[in-house]
Parts: sequence; structure tokens; C-alpha cells
Amino acid sequence: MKYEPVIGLEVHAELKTKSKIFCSCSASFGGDINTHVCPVCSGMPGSLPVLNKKVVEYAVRMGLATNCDISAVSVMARKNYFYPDLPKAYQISQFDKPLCQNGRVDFEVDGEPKSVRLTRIHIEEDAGKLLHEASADESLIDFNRCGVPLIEMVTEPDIRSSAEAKAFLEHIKTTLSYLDICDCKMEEGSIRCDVNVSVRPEGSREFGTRVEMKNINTFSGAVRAIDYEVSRQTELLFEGGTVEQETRRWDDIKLENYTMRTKEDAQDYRYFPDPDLLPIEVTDEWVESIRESLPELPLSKLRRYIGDYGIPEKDARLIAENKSRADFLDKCEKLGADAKTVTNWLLGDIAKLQNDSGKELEESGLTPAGLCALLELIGSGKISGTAGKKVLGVIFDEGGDPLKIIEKLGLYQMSGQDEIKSIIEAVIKENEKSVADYKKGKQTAFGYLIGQCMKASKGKANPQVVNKLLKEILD
Amino acid sequence: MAITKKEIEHVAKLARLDSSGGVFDTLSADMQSIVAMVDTLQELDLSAMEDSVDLSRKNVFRSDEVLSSFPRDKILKNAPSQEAGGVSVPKIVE
Repeated sequence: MKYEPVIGLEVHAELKTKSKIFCSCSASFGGDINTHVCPVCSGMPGSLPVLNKKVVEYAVRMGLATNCDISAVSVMARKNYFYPDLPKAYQISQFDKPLCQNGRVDFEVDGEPKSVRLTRIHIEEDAGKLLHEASADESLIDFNRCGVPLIEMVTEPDIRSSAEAKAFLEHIKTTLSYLDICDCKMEEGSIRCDVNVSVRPEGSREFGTRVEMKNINTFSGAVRAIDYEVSRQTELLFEGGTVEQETRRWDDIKLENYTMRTKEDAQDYRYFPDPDLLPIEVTDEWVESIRESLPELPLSKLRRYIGDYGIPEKDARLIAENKSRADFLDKCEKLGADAKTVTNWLLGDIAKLQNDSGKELEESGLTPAGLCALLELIGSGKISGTAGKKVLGVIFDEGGDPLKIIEKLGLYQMSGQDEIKSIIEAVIKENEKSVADYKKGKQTAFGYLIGQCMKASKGKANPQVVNKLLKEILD
Repeated sequence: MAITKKEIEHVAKLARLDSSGGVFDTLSADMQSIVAMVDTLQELDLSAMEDSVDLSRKNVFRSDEVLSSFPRDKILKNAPSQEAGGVSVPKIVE
């Protein structure tokens, strides 16, 4: 019998608001220990949470981008559990009335379209951080992350392989970055996910017993965790065993997982509406104003690049998946540059400069206007393509006006007929033998003469013009 | 609704209360009567009511603005034990 994996994901994304979800402390990452903390986010008795409006807006943005119904009325709820990183002993989250429901994420896996239903997206607060290295038997609590806003996206069990899970996660990441609502810095834990895995005989409609896996920090870790768990369950069933419903913790160093909680000690969160917070009403007008502010999303960009600009699909994908590249291309196109040419530069020389320097596009000195000016100079023959690459390198590192850089480096291409003609005449005079060879029909002599002309012009002569004039003079 | 000893133990466990030593043996009857009192609410006929949220007050928001946090020593003032700017607790790794 063959077994088929059935996978559902719970993805948490930290929203990039300036302040926390229920208080005015900074939500930024990496502050000194316990310096972004106040009575509200450290759970002091008597303090009262007030919801950050931006959190609702950002969550609705994601809801709209994933085809969710936006709830006209939603309610914050308390999820009760004890853990040292949760000072109130409850997390303010949402339960039966989440902000967004019934969504659908459309993406592609190896070029094949795939749809995954989203059960819900809700808003909640992050917990603090436990630092374990302090001593052997003590942990230190840093409350800075307490109250940083999160959205949790819960999928239906529609994913059938680790490859699909990875493509889904990458699509979510791209979407979050397009919507500009999450930093998407994996190393800072901006996106985290839990995975639910079960297996069932292929063709079966029933679900197997599901195991939840926690502590997955990277997308490639998710792939490893899923593959491990699928084969663990499959082997178990082959040997006549049964899968227990439990929560297992993934260890991405040892590449194995182990039981965290069995069904017997499953958490009982005793959710109830948080009496400190009033219901959230999102009117149609509010939804529409958020919808109007949505940027064009990756899939639509991809279609436009292929359909309108005729960019090859593979290249179009590399651009559309990367928001800064896509924005760059769109701006260049608006400035009148040819989209295909810009794409070639973005994926060629510019990508190489980025790889070598480790810089994102926006961290470099290159602007869309700068590249367009450079392309114009190359297109009109004022500088050669080779010189253009040199100028690009300088602009990428230091910024600046291409015209000034060309002047400074003396890279102007000589295109003036008279100027070039005088160089050619001098070369002909000095190379009578080659001229004679050419006239006898020796083609290589022509190439040699071109080379001499280029050398005499210190590489600045426009090769096409040299070629044309030399031919005219000799023939 | 009958409150069994097992339920009391479950609730005690959730609340991290020590249920050893027979402290809860007498609680069963007490809790029974408390729950029975609340149960009188069940007598109300709410079949005509929809599950609804009271919207007479709603949408209390703050704008996304950062104001200064509390000084760390004030935040940590009540912590029973602290070290290197953090609250120090027995090591828990789940």
C-alpha cells in the first residue's frame, strides 16, 4: 500500500508596525534586554490593552491578498496557559471570531498551479523570549517581544508534499513582503510555522491521525521536518503500529523529532472573549479603502511581465518573486526603458554585483533613473557596452550620475566620423602590408586593422563606426 | 452538572495548584453548589437570541506610535530574582 501525506500549516508572521499591538512600546527587533517593556506588555495588574489600528489594517491586507472573507465583527480572546515567556499567563489572540476567514492561496509548484484553502487569519500578540545560556539551571526572560503583533494563518489540510509546503511558504513570504506588512527576516523569527502531518492510504478520503510539529524556523527546515515525519508515520503503519495524536518537537540539528505532549496532556486553553478589549467592526468602506491601497501582487506581475513585455517566463519569475527587483523594473519601464533590456541587466550584471557585495538593490547606489540614464548612453552609442558595465559597477557601489562618472573615467565612445576617419587613415599609413594583404583577399588582415584602430583610439572608438568607415576607405 | 474529583484535579492541574494532601476532597460539594447556582441561568429561554456581539461600544484603537517604555529597573522591581537585566526563572525547556 502507498501512503499519501496530508499536511496543514500554521504560519505566524510578525507585523512590521512601529509599536506593539496593545501598548506604545517599540516593536522593533534587537533592543537591549527588557528595554521595550511597560506595565501593559509585562502583564502588570491593572494595566489595560488598547488595540493598534495598524494591526487590523495589516491583517486585512493579508486577508484580501489571500481571498479571505473579512469579518464585519471580530473579537479578541484570551488563550490561557502558563509559560515563563507569557507574563499575563494568557495570550491575547482570537478564537471563534477571527478577523479573516475562508481564504484561498493560489501559487505554483514547479510550474503547476496549486490552491490551498486558508481556514482563517487572526491577530494576536507574540510572547517574550527565554534565554537559556545564563546558567545550567536558570533561564532569563526578555519581555521585549511580548506584545509584538502577529498574524496567524491557518491552512486547511490541502498540502500533499514537502515541496508543496515549501512553495506555499515562499509564496506567503513574497506576498507579505509585497504587502509591506512583515520584515520577512527568517533569522529574526519574523515568520515561523507549525506543521500538521498525517498520512493515509493513497486514494482514501479519510484523514489519518495527525501529529503537530513545533519549532520549525526555516522553510528548508519545514521540508526536512515534513519528510522525516511522513516516513516515521509510514514506517509505523507498515509495521502494523498506530500513529498517536501528539505534539512533537523538531530538532533541525539532530534531524529528528520527539514527543512534546501526548493527547492526554493536550493543552486546554480555556479561550474566552477578552473583557478588556472591545469588538472590532470592520465596515465595507474600511475594507474597500484597504483594498484600494493594495499593491499589484506577484502573480499578476508575473502575468504582466510575460504577457505585456514578452519577458521569458523563467526570467519573469525571478523578477516577480523579488519585490525590490520588480519595483525596480516597473520604475524603469515607467521611465521609458525597455523592460526586456532592464531584465537582462537586473538578472545579469546587477545580480552579480549584488551577489558579490551581499547588498540588496535598495542598499546599493543604483536607482531606476540611474540605470535608465546608463542604458540610454549605451543605446545611443555614447559609451560601449563594456564601458557601461564599468560605470554600473561604480554607480552600484557609490551612486552618482552616469554622465559624470563617464567623464571622470574617460569612457566616452568616439562616434564622430571625422575623428575616427583620421585615426583610420593614420593606421592605414602605418600598416601598408596588412592593407595589401586585405586587398589580396585576406580577411584576417581586416580584423587586424580594426584592432589597430581601436588601439589607436584607446578603445574609445565605436567599433561599428570603425568597421563601416574602414570598409568604405579600403574598398 | 456533577463536579467529579477528576474534574477538580484537571482544573487544579491547569491552574498549577497542588492537589495532593486531600485539600480538594471537600471541594467537590462546594463547587457543585456554585455550579448549580450558575446553572439557574440555563432556565432562561434564549432560543430566539442569535449568537451576537454587543456593538454598542466598539473599535477603540490607538495609532501606531512609539512612546517611551518603562525604565528597566522599574519593570524588574517586583521580580523575585533577576540577572543581567532579565527576570531569572528555573530553567524550562519544552
